[in-house]
Amino acid sequence: MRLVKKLLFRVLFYFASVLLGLFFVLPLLWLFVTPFRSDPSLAVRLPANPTLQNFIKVVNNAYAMRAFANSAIQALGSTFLVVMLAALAAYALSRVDLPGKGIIVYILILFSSVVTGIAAMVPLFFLLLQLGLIDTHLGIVLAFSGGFLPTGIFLMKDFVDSVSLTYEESAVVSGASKVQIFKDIILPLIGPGMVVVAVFTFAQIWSNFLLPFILLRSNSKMPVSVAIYTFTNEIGMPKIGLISAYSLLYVVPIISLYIFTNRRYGFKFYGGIKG
Amino acid sequence: MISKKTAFFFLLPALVLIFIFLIFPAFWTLYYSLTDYSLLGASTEFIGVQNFINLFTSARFWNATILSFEFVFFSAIIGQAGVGLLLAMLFHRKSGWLKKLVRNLAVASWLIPAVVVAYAWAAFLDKEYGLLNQIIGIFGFTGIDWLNEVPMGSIIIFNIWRGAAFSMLLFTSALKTIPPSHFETADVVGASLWDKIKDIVLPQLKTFIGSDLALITLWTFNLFTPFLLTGGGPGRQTEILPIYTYFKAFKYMEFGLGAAISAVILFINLTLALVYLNYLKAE
Amino acid sequence: METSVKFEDLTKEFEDVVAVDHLNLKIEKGEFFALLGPSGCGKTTTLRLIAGLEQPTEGKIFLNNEDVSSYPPKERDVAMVFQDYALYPHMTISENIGYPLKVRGVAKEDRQERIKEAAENLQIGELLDRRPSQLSGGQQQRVSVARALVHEPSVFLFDEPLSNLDARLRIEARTFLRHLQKELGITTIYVTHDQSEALALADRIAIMEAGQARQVDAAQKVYHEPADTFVANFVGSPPMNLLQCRVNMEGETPILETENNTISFTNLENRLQRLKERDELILGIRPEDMDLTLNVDQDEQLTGLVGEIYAVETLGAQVLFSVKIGNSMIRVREMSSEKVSQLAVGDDVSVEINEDRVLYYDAEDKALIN
Ligand SMILES: Nc1ncnc2c1ncn2[C@@H]1O[C@H](COP(=O)(O)OP(=O)(O)OP(=O)(O)O)[C@@H](O)[C@H]1O
Ligand SMILES: [Mg+2]
Repeated sequence: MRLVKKLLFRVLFYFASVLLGLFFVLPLLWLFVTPFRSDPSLAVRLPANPTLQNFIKVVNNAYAMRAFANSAIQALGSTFLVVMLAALAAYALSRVDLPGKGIIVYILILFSSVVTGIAAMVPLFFLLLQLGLIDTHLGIVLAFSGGFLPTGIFLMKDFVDSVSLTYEESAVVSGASKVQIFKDIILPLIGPGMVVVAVFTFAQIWSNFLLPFILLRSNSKMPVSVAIYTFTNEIGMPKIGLISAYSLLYVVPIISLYIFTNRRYGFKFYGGIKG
Repeated sequence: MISKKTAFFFLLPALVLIFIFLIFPAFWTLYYSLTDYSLLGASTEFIGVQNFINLFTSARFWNATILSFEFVFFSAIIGQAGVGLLLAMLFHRKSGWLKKLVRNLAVASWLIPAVVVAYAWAAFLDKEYGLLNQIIGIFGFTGIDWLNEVPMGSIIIFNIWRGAAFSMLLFTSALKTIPPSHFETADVVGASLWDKIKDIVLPQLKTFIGSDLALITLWTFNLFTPFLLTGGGPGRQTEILPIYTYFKAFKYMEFGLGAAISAVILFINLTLALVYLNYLKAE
Repeated sequence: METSVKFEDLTKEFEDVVAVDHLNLKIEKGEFFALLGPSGCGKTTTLRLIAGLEQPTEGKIFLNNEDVSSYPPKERDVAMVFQDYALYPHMTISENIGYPLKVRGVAKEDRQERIKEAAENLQIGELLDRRPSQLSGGQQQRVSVARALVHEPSVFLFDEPLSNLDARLRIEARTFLRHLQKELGITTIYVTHDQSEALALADRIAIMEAGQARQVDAAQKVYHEPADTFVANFVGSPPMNLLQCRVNMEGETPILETENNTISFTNLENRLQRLKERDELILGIRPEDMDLTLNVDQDEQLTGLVGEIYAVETLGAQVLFSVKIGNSMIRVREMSSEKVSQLAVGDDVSVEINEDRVLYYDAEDKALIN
């Protein structure tokens, strides 16, 4: 009786796992097979004659490549700004007894979850218009930085808090100067935290569609997320081969970052922090 | 190591950016929502709550609001949290390739950029060639045009697929906080699976479930991605609030009205965020 | 170069606590000096003031009669060993030890030589290429000492450096530190709340309470003649027995009345006058300065302290008896012997006191009566 029950549970476990696995994998299959087909279509077919032709088309498409560069500029620029400023702010919040710092952190987290791209798109558009930053990389970078800094500061502060102050004090007593302490002690110790914040910020900005869709106008500045979307309408017919290959290339940095963080730090999970 | 003055200068650049690009826009939205600002009208006038009156008497607004609530309730609260909890419990204290594979697939669905998954799903749901209809065909059913015939159902399933990983990850780490001895004790007295869920998991995960629901509700409520699948159509059948806002502000250029919708969204967001932060404090 | 350390009215206040309260102390050149006291009494704060990690609210610190109160840490030339060692996890042991030299701009070759020398001094020469996480607690402790001595500081500061070690290692490390300090002759200030550590290591000890020094004396003196009941209670394990009693004069003989016993001492000599002046006083008696005798005859009216054995604990060669006398408990330490092994819980015993070793404390200001 017990054995039967146990067996039943095992069968149920495998059945449920396989079903859920299928649920997650089926919609993605198309993405991974189509780019290698010589006759790309909306159907999922294993490539009869695997080809890299679609990728070559992407590489030869100036607009597509330009969009890659734009994505890189915007995502890397914002990430750099977020990581640097978040590290400075988090260090100050963690190490110095500032009046009302609990409130500051609370307000930052509150606003970063309340003011989403949707809720702020109208004023953000006009703000950049007034500042002359509409349709510029800088405008996008600043808008993203403002949005991601609170979470960056929050993550970074947690990290700095976990690094014991005695490392710095020990260096002070050893006779190190402020610059030496920063370079030799603080930076290496909080470096991993900065990497985590960087990966987290980069991945989200790289994928973001809404802000560039609203804040950019000219094709020459569009990141991949918007560029892919416009491929459909270019000649009335979607270029399936091109789109699928381009999509796959676009996904590569995200998947690599995931594998990298997973290997290096274990995919640390920060409850309640995304977008 | 640093003085209060230095600390202030460390904080300043971040706070300035956050203020200009995050906090200020929120208040500016509120201001715009009280004006008749648009690209058509020559001058911008202060019109009080007129936008809100127009909004609340507009059938299209109520259509969007109801759709948004449906979308949040079925895709996030029931779907993502349910599937996430199921996944977390299924693999709790298990190991092996199957667990790794399924979890990684779920996380991949969550991490891949929205535009890409939108394309993948458009192909998946295509009437003639889509994989879904092919599979249905094997079982002898005729496929349908999912995005046109059951548009709301399609984006709900899509969003469950898209976001279940977050709840799974949150519940997985939450389950780890329950001491294994609790399950062992339950096993000893011969509790059924449902008893375990009812008596151990749910009570101990209460705050985690609360946080999870508050967050996924907030995010789903603000999600623009369905636009990439259906563009709000057919007709207005999937015109949830974010898409409605976008149309009003950027297609019809009625910025004042767009801002009024944003203000409503801000208010709902604020409520949800306060609920969430309350749970954070409770933890 | 040997250095003396002096505090003048050294005071440190945090928002609502006075961590160090008008401390006046002089620590001699080459001395091994311990700051001993319960948790929160201001030991760490004192050390951090010397290192320059905190600024005094009031008062001055002198190194070799030079007022360094306003100097930054770098110019004080002290070295500090932290309780958690603070070994930099991203550096090798060699880099850790060499860090104070590196920031002082010592050339690389010279540095290597001195790292090696310091490491050999502490018998960790073979660990130089490892990382801190690959060392045991005892090894980490040695590395932190090596890092402190590598640049030959004028003063060593230790903040409970042994508290993270297990009991055996702690005694080993203690002996080693004592040896090393005498060999190097560097003035050392050592913070601990473990009185046996302070007694074993230090030439002199300052017993601190609430930011003030209650007694500053040689280790032997602190143990044998605690200056007040606080020190008496803090030093020694188990601590000294303190018995409150009233003084009744029967002619020229003072009779000491405890809760429910009377004690009369014959041999009071020169203390007599001072006892006479008081109505009440506190007796301080070390556990080893008493003896237990079994009360065989129940009827006989015994003089001295009479009580019942409450617990017996064996401490290696010695046995510790807790004896309940009225509402108070006193502890008596006996050498293990046949006679002692006959005593058991519940026995009625009388406690004999070695009169010569009794200390008398004022009931009001709790200070030792000489
Ligand atoms: N940075 C600070 N801010 C506020 N109060 C402090 C600070 N540092 C120490 N104190 C307070 O000063 C008093 C003395 O602290 P200190 O750390 O010197 O004690 P200690 O003798 O080293 O104790 P322990 O044996 O527990 O280490 C304590 O009441 C402590 O709470
Ligand atoms: Mg301390």
